[in-house]
Amino acid sequence: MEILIIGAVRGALYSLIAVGFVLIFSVGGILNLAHGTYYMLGAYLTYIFYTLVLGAGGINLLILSVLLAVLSVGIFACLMYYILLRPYIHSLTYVMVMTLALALFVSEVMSLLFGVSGTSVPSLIEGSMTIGGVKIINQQLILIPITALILPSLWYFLKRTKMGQSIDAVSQERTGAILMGVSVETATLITTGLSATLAALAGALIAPVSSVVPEMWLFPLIKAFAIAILGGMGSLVGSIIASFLIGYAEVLSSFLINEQLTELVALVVIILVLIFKPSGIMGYKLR
Amino acid sequence: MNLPKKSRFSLKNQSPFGLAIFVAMAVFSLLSDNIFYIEVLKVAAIYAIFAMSWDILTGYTHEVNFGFAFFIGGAGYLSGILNSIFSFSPYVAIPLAALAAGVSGIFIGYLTLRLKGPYFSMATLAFASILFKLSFIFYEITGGEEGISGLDVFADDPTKDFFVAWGVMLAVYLILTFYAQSKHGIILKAIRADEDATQSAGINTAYYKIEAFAISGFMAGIGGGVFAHSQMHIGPTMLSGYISIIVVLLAMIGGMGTIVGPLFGAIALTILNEYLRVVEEYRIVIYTGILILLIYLAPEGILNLKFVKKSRILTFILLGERKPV
Repeated sequence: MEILIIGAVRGALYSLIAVGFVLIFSVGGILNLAHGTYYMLGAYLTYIFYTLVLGAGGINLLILSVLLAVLSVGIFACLMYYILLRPYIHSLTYVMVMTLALALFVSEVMSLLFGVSGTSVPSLIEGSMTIGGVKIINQQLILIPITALILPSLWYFLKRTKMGQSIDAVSQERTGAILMGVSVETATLITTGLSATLAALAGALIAPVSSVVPEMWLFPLIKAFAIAILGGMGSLVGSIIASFLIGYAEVLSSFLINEQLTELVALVVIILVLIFKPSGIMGYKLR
Repeated sequence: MNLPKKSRFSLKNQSPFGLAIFVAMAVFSLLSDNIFYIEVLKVAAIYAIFAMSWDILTGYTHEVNFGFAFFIGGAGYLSGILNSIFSFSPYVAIPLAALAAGVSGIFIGYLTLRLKGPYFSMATLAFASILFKLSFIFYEITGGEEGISGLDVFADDPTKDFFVAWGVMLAVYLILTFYAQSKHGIILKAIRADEDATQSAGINTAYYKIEAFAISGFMAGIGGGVFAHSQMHIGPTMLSGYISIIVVLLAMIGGMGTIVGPLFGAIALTILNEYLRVVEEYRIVIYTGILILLIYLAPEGILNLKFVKKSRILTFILLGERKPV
């Protein structure tokens, strides 16, 4: 029971992070190594808005600061895409190196501003709940309904609205979409904002229960990549399934073998999948 | 394709600019008796070894290796363990550790080089991260956060110590330029231009890529070992993503695929980094900021800028290439 619930919480968190990572790769062909940075910024900006700008008021101010943080990360990501990445978007090497350098830069700025020991953010909901004899912190549990709300609305956006359909079209067949008059520029820009927003939301929601430190960008990035590889690059459904698979695999390994091995699961998954089945479980193309 | 069967080593094919860097560093350290400057030059020389050995794989095949810390830190730790636990002399421990790095380069190359582009990069990053995590799990051997301290040095005198690093750097530079100008380097360039076409010319591309990977790992292993012994310490920083990224940035800013470029980039930028110590608190932020700016302004690298490629004299002085008139 314990494994079931904690695994579900982790799966929900990872799917929020990984969906954006997969989306921007399939739409813009951008391997965004700064994705973990957006997650980190979501957590840090929540802290900044709540404690420093809004002055640590009640619960309403906390929700407002989460929203502000998520929004400003989205804008920041769009700016970064527009200024830094767009001029050389066709060079995969450039994009990878630039986003990784950006990740390094932001994490150094954060450690300069707030120190390496980290900060913390109060919870949206205090207390904990007991389900089936297992005690779960409410703040972690809140991830499940939020993810259950966001993923279907993302699906609705991609399949039913005009903007979403054009993003979907670009990811499926880039040249065809251009010929149909879809603006690839706009689609990529909106996807960048969207994927950064999702990562920032995950960071803001997890901030109260994990420590907010400058190094927190690396492991979400590796996990997002492991999930993207396992689910098949470019497949959203695959990445959601893979998020829960990896979430459960990590919880299982920490319960059965050793706590320390949790971080290794994602890395081993990357290597095994790349060596034995590079297209992943739902992948349909491999460049 | 008409490739030379045997390439002969000659000074004529060397870049005058690259040789000038070596001469300048040697002369400066002989004349100066300021220990601080010599220490800075030593660190710069070691970073140059890293950047040049990274370049032989990535610059020539454009498969970006993001896990270079695997070789640097792995060999550093190995030679540190050989030295501190089994009390091997550094002159034995470093080649052994570098050999191990080269062999693991063959192994990882065999596993990952079928992958292309981002898949390859992330696989190498994953390998390096696994080693990073393992260094904390096996803290009894590796010392965990603290690392291994008290390793043997090459010499007591900092100038002599510098000349060990300088000599290794010169050897690595000469071997790598020789390799890059030989048949093997030309084939690697052909793979970069079009792997399928190279394959259909009857060349076993996988073999050459794995060979380059092994050489790159071996040289990085030597660099890592020299670094560990000259600092008398090896810690988890040398295995972390930070060192991988910095090596990539140094080599890219200098100019990928030239060997001279990464040499120049690593030395110039490391000296800049030390110079920034006047503003110690903001140093890393300013340094990474400058690196980002340089990559943004010259994504191909400084020695690959258009005006260098266009001018015959500059191409000869900087890259050592004689263009036919």
